[in-house]
Amino acid sequence: MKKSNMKKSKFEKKLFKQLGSLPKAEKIKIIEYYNELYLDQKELGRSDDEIIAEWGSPSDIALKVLNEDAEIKLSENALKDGAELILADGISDGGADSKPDTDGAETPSAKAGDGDKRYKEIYERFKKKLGIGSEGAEKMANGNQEKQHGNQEKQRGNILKSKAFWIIYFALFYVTIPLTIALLAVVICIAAAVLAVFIAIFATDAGLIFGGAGGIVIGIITMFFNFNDGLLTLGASLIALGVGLLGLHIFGAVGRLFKKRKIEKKQ
Amino acid sequence: MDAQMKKGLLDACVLAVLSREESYGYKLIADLKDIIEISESTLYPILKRLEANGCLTTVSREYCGRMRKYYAITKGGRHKLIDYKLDWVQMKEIYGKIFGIGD
Repeated sequence: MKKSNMKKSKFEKKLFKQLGSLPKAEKIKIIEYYNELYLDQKELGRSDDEIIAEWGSPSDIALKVLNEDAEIKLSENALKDGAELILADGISDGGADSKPDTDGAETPSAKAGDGDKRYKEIYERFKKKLGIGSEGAEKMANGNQEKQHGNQEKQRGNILKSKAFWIIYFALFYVTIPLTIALLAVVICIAAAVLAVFIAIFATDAGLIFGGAGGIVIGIITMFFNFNDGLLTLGASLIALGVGLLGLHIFGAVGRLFKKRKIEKKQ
Repeated sequence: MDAQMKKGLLDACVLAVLSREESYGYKLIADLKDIIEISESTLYPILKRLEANGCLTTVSREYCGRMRKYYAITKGGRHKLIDYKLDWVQMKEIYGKIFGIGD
């Protein structure tokens, strides 16, 4: 029993690893799916070897799952591209405007142009399904624009990776290098200023806490010599300590909030 | 059978099986194997896609001391199934005209 459990868990670990590019939650769902199949088949009296042999290797399963996922996405895009082609060929127009195939075969559009209403109705329905028509065409046009924008963004990224860019950059040595240094200096100064502000706030808070604590001791001692002065010192020190502790509490709350957001982001 | 055509058919087959009654993973595969060749790794993405499209819903229920996931068709899934049936009628007509079958 122990051996068969190890086999199954080994299989699951391998499968989990092979599903590398999928999100963790998705991988867990797939493992749970196979675990359920495993338990159902064990109830029917099948052995681990039989069950796992039927599934195939974890790498084959992972490949299939990942390919199916990719193909679904590809086919959605291909469907849109195919619809574009049909539009470009003018098949959707039908009738006299359509061009026949080069081998002279009758095209579906010509068939529609011949007045075959039923055939046209069927094609209209397919067009609707493919998203062709004024709405569909607009959608595709917008989609193409987005594609072009995406391609432009890619091109910008590629420029930085190209050697030519860097050759030109260093060739204009007298202009680009000092400018880069100046920009870096500005960034470092801003970062240092922000850090200095944080340190100052923290140092002030620490000063208030320690100063307040020390002041309380001094205040109590002073009260034995000069009650009024001692009481004043004690009161001021208590206020300073309170403000310092409040500041510490705020720091802690902000820190916990950032930590929580970090954990939520990771998930 | 063409792989792409088979993919389209599988969705219809899964919905058709679930339209009779809700089912769970192993039973679904067993029922589908009578209709079309399908493996465990092929079924999972189909179920995932159908659930994402709102064609089926899942519910976990206790069975013999463990939780088992059941898949049930939704209203959207039944509409989709009707679409598949209509598509079949249209495809049958088109194939008939192309290949001169029927009528």
